[in-house]
Amino acid sequence: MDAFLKGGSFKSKAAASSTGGSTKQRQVPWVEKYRPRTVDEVAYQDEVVAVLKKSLQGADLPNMLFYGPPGTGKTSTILAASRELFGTDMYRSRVLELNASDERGIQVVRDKVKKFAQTAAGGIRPDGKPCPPFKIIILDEADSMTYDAQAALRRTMEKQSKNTKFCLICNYISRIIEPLTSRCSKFRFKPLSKPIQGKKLREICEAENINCGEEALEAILKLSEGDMRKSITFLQSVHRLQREDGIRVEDVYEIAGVIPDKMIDDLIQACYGGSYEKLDEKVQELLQGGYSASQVVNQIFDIIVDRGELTDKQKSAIAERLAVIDKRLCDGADEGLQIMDLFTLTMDQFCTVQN
Amino acid sequence: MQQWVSSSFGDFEEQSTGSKAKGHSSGKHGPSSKGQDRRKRPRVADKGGGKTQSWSQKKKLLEGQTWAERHAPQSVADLAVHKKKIQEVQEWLTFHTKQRGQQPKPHTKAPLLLLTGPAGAGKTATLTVLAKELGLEVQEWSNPITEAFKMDQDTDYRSDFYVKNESQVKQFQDFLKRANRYPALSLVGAQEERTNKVVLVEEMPNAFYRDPSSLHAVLTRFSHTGRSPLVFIVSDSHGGKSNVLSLFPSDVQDNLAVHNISFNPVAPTSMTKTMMKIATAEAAKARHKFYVPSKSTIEALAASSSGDIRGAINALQFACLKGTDSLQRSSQKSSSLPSSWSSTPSSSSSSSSIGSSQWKDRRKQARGSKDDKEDKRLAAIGGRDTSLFLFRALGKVLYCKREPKTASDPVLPPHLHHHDRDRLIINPEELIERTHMSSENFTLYLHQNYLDFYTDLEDVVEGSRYLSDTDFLTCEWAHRTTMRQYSSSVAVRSLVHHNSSRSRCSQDGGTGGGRGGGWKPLHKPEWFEVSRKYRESCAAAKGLFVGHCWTPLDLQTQLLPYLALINVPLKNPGQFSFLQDVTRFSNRKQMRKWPKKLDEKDIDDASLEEDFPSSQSSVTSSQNSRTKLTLNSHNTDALNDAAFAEDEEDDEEIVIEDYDDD
Amino acid sequence: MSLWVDKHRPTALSKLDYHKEQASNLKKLVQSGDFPHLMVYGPSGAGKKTRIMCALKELYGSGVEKLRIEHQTFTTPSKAKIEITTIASNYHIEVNPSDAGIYDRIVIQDLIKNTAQFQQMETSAQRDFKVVVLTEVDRLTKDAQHALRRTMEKYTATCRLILCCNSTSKVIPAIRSRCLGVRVAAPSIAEITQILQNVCKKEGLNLPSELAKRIAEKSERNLRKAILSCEACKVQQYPFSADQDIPEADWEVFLRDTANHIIQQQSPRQLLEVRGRMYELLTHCIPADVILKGLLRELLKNCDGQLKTQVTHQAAFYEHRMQQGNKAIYHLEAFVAKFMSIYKRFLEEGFEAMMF
Repeated sequence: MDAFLKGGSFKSKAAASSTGGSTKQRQVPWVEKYRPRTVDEVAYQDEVVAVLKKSLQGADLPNMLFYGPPGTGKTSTILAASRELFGTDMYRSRVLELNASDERGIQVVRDKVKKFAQTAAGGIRPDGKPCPPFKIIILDEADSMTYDAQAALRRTMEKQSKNTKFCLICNYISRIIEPLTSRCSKFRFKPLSKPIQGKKLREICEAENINCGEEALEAILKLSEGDMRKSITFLQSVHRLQREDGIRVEDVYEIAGVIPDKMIDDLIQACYGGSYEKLDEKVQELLQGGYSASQVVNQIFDIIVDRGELTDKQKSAIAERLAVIDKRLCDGADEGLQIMDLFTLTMDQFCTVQN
Repeated sequence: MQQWVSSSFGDFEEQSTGSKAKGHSSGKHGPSSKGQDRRKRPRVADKGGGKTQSWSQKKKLLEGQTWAERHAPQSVADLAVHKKKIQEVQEWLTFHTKQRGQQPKPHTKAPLLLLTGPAGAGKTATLTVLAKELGLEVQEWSNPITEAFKMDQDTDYRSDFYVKNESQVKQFQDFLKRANRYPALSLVGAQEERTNKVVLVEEMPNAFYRDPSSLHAVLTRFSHTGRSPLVFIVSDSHGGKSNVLSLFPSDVQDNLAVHNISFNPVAPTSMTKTMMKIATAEAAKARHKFYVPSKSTIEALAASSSGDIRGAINALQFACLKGTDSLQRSSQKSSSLPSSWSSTPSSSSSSSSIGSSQWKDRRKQARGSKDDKEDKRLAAIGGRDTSLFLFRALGKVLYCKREPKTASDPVLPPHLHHHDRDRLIINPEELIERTHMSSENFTLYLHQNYLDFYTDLEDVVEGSRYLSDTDFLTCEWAHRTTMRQYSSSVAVRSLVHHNSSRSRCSQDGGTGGGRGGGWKPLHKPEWFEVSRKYRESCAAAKGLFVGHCWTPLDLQTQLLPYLALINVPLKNPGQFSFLQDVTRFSNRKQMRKWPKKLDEKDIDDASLEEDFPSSQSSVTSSQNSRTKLTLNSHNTDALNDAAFAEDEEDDEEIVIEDYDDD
Repeated sequence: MSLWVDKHRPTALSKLDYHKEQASNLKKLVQSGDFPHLMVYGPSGAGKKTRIMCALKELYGSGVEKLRIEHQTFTTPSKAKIEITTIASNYHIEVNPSDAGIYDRIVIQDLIKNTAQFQQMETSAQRDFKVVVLTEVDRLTKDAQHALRRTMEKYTATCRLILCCNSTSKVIPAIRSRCLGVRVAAPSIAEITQILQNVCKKEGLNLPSELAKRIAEKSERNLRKAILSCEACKVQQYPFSADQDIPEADWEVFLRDTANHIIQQQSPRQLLEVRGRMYELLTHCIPADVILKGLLRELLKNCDGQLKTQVTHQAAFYEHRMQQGNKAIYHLEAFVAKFMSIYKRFLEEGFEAMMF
């Protein structure tokens, strides 16, 4: 019942802003604006939703560890759940949210977390209604905590397990120490499937009154790689630049910094041509255009893998170089040189197959 | 006050019995007592002696003294130092003391003498012996003991006279002042010569190492007010003249008219002579314990100590012990293993559970008993564990001498034949360790010089590639300390290995530079200078052209060069001269300055300039703090100055009181 | 000091010479009132800064042109003080956080915090946020970038960021996804030619179109460089002639000479000489990676196809090393040595081929 009301209020808010409300509201990023307010709204993550729903109906909540790629709704889920559990009034007293920007050294874990965990939590709301008799501590980006801090957390978790539930959120479960993972029920968040993401984006388009064609939408979905946050951010960015005449595919590409297919094709052709000068010219053009080298690496990889006429050996040679170049770029090496290195090798490989 | 009076009594006793050569009265400073008379700085002699003793199941040595102490020279004739040096010191001492004694002109500059040289070259011995012969009293400064010790003593109410946390610098200053003002009060009384004395400073207060300018301030004052000759003895044990140069930069030396006498290592012949004498004397005294080693052994010991007579005598003491003979044999055997491996640090620590000091001794002997074809090597890898001069270390790597292969050496398979090399004489890791340099710096020195020694381009390619590797190895800040050792090891080994023109041992028995084309000058690395200048100019550019908000890259490669081409009126002359400086290139070859030549005794004076990656700001800030520090010390000095006069009067009264008490 | 580059910089979005569509988009963005964090990226000399300033003017009016230079000090946790020069107006503040070296995180956090908490002086101002312009974001440490990401979210109500960088590769995705990316491509040769003509017209000079074209081609699509060398041309010779020499920066000449040295002779001795010249370049404020790239470009002119591949590969290898390591000279020298060896073999093979 409560959940339904919340959902309702969100809808009316969205409607208000779409009809040109105050500037204040408009500045809220859509990612925040369209964050799911209830567990039901969480898309695609069925197992978690099932567990959380049970606890909403009165069952106990285990300690939880959410992991999975970014933008799959980990934070949204737990936020929505705790809001439903405690309501806005009690939220502050019952939920502690810590993320990487907060100091989270071992000292904080000892002091802040412990202090919060130690206070008792009653089973009755101020207004007399029953509510779950525990508190929730959300540790966002737990994989960036030091091992020491994680180890300190272990004791606290055990001691306070009766009235405090922990929810750890991370991208890489391998960076959480074993004793912690074994104390939590783990939930993997899958990358969102395109149809589900598409559905959500269309909802937003409708709410914000955006004219977004299917093709552009498809492009956004493709680029966001199952990351809901990314896709919504893309949509908002594109919308910002393009206000009157609908959203075009090129706009999407432009926002994402994707290199147009034509440019990549030209490059590949230049590689087939076997002329260093031609290639150099094309690479320069690419970089002068302001495209980033890491983007080149990503796109070339996709192309090389799909190229039918290349032998496996050639592909692996190029892929190996791609890996090396990617690492070098991460280390801050010069883009032009590294990309040139990549393409000269590609050219070599291409030319050997032709001969 | 009691303390210093009593210590000067002690002094008197010592002098009269003559049992102890180093019988200087302890300084009249600080809350010192007899305990302070002992030197805190562990010296080679003491250490070596102690260890030897403990190993030999604490066989009682006579009076617990090491031979080095017991046989300290008593007269000029005993000194193993070169005659000329002795004479030089003697002349200086007589000139400054006698002259002063006759006509006390208080306001000429106080004479300052600086004795330098490697440890165990006989500096202290020369001075004490000469002082004795000339009838001079020696007053020596020694560093006050730690706070804890002081607290113990502080039960005495007299200690109220001393400011509790008096800095060493202050105490040193007081010492000089007192030493200057009052002759040690000896009850012997009115002997004319006794009033002449020499102030000896052998250990510097640590504060001076951190901040030499405070020393200079103290000295400047001393030179204006002081009368007694002041002698500094500074060993350049760790890598050449670092201490000397940092404590006494040449401009300060000039200003204060410091007379510098530099001692050379003791010559092997005179060392052999002395050692022979000692061994005979000892053996005569205690025949059951000692025997006189063969002359060749003594010669080898002398050679291996590379001029450190104290070390040599300690080694001798050990060598003469009966029962070490067999040990010596066995160590000889072990040293006939492939030498470059047998003496790696790791093997030395693993093979001997008996203790490292003893291993060292053993090694000394092992080296010592090798034939003289190798004595060049002995000098370098020999008994003394002090530094290998940078110059020689570089030479060893770059000339990379080799010795012929033995039959037991492994033979490389044919496909690796081009990696075949004769056996190396040096052991790279040991060499690096003994240069006492950071591995980055040593590598830089190698880098600066290796090209001169290479003749084939392919070798250079390999060598430079490995140098690049060495830098890469230490790039990760977190692992740098661990990787350092490896990186210098890689550098040395690769440079040695890839110099294919030197892959065989030289036919002429290893004299001179072999076929590499004779002697070549070595240079100091330019990199420090270059990177410093680069950083400075970048900072200057940013500072001068601040309004332009260009990125540094654009500023340096585009704006500045073109500004030089376009005559736009500049805002200030600083910009103009900077532009001139930075954008003009001297294309002519002869304009290029060659890097500074490296001298035999030079050490790594660039070590302070460790370059901090991307932390320009931290460098400048530390510089700032340094200037602040010096400022502060100047201030305090000024204050001290004001307090000076008062202090002196106070002292006078106290002295009289104390005197009465006695 | 008024260089043409500064004098003829467009000051309004509507006056920009190229990427007009983008300019109008920016204008729309400003007018909509929904101004997000921006990330402006593109090659050097493409006009990123110009666009940023234009956008700021569009936002706040001409008040942003009243600039003052300020020195701000920040205190590190280890109590060290860092001084950073900022350029600010009443509405925005510009800083290059990489000036602070390893302490860039502190600078970013403190600066944004200060700016965000400092309420807009004039209540009449049409914006309720200030703008912080951060240049060279791609040179920030990872630590600082993560801090930036958080600070961005925290103070989003009173503070907008405009990030400026050459490439987005070195910016973490979390920041990229929080900004609206504005790609500023380098102007085409034709555009540069046209701009040069315009500038000269404003200066009352007559620029032959051939010369303009040559300058443009030589500038490698870097507008700033083009205008600078155009002005240098004018200093060198006016009236212009179509075939006059285009002055080059001294270091470029020197670098080319160095490359020639390498081509002429390949020996350890020569390498020593080249090393000296590289040191010379470094002491003249030319960064090591620029030296390497410049050498490569010059050297490649003397190579044929297969060789070019090889040499490029080596250059890329050592360039990466150089970025990682501390002492650039090792890597520069190793590259030159490698090139010498490759080139020498190439010459010898060529010689043998001629013989038979």
